[in-house]
Amino acid sequence: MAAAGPGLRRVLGLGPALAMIGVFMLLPIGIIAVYSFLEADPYGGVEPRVSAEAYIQFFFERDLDDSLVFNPAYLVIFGRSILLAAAAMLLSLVIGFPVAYYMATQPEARRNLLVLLVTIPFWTNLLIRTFCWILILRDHGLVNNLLLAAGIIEQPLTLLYTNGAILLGLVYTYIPFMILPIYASLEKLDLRLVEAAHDLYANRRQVLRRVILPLALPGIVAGSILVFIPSLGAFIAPDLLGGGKKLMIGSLIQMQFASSRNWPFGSAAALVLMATVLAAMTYYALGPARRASTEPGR
Amino acid sequence: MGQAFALEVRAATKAFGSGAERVVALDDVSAGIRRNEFFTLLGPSGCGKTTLLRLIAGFERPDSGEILLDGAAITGLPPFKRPVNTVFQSYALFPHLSVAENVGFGLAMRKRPKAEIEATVAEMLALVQLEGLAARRTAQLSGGQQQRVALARALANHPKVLLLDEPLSALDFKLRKEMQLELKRLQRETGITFVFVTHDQEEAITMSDRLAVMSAGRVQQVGAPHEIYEAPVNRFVADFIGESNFLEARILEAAAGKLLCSLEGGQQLRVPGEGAQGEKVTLALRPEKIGLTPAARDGRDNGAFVGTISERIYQGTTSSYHIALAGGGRLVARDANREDGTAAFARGDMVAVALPVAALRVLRD
Repeated sequence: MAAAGPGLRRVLGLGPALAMIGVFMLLPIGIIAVYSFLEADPYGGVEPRVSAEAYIQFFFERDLDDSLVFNPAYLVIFGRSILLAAAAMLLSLVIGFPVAYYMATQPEARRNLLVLLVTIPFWTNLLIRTFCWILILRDHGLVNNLLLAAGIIEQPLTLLYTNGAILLGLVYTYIPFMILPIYASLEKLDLRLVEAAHDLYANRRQVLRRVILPLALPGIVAGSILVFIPSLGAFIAPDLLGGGKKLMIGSLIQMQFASSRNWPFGSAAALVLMATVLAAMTYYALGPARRASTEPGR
Repeated sequence: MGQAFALEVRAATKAFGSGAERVVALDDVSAGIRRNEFFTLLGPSGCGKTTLLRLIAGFERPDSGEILLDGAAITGLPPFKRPVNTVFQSYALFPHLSVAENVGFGLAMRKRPKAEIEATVAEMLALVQLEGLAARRTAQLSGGQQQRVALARALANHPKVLLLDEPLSALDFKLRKEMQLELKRLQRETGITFVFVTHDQEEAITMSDRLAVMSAGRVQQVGAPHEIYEAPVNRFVADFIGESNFLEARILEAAAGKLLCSLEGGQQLRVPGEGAQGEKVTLALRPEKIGLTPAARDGRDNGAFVGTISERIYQGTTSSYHIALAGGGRLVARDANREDGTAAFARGDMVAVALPVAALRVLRD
């Protein structure tokens, strides 16, 4: 019984976590997977007839004579989503890294305050915050009114409902997820290493490239993943700031479950997205191991 | 300039903080360090020795004053433009690089050819006896090995001056002794000027060609170890370097380079020195300079006192005795043990204490 005790305790301890993952993650994914192979009920929901129609629809459209023609429309949305998410990730990194570095080099009391400030946006509903960007960006919004009043422009600039507006919304929403992991790895960085590098003839750029960036890499990787993945599936920023004209994959999926009432197609699109992300992350995560195997003596 | 210094600090002052929290770390410090010299900055923590080293390395700028390398001012240069290198107290090795990449870092930053870097790295690893560890990560090394990598990394750049910030303080006693010899050997073989910071007076005395004793942001005395040991200029130096007895005294008569002093216990002493009648001074005397003889043959000539041994501390080849003088006052004396290793005197023994006047230093502070 001595062996069963700790085993039982472990099961009981992990139980809630396993139940959470099972009930709230695996089960919904399973349902989605099943739905993606069923037929759509025109009034929402699914009809219990097995069909690959949802996946076919993602890549092809049916001609009048029922033959399949390649249709890149959804792939374009998919590609735009990846590009916008990648751009949001890069922009967040470029903006977030100096912020994280600044935070990490402050005295300890101020550091905690700064971390708190970074999380403040989370205290307000995302929908409301994104809506505020509409007020700022629209034709007679804050930015255009200021520029008009200053006489810099004569006609309002089209800022809202552009890819730029979506990008702005994504960066604004997810940049804390970039700042915090980078801050966490920079906070552990021994500043004496920076001094040592300076002492060894490294100028500021070389110190950044040869010492600070390599040591902050775990935080950069974590932050990039945390910005890229939710950006890819985002639908609030594309909907509100893109005006629904520049669809992203997240909006597409959301539409299928809401207005379009095509649950199987929405499920299929969600699974394609998930499979792509999973493949990319696996490749990413195995990166260090792959490098190690090609560099002997490490 | 009469003397060409490799490195010269002129009237450097540096303060940290402001208002009520302002701390003066260096107060008008000047020092000249000669070429190929093993020069030590010695002092207790907070005396400004590390600040001075950081000023030379370029990590801090002085509020006023100048730093000259080979006669040229480098005061405003950033660290990466100064031909000096530092061995840090914490070693500060790059954890993401191998031993070889650490040692070659300075050369790589200056874009030297790959072949030159490889050759220098191999030469440096041989110099510090770490051949075969080139591909290791620094985290896999022992403290002593990390110390050697830090040395090799700094020496690989052939600096004009090597700065060492308490590099041995993290090592255990035996390894520290070994590395002391190693540092002396490296300094001899490379011919590079070393500026070494330590709070360990024994380390400073055994290793240095010359040393500066620092306290409270000021240089108290500069000189060869024996000069500082034998002729400390003030009570701080006499106390910090080795052990000293301090006898408070008042000058009764001053004439022709001789002083007649009266101690607290009323004993009178004639010592060489200058001073004014009535002035209060401190007489410093090293414990090993005091002569002890059994008190039976009590010849009370000048400088001879009688006392009782109140404590005996056995130290192997010598013993230290705490002596209560008959007229009042206390002294510590050190005396060789007998041939068979036993101490010459026991607690409670009456001894005659001979204070050699030539070894008495008159100090004022």
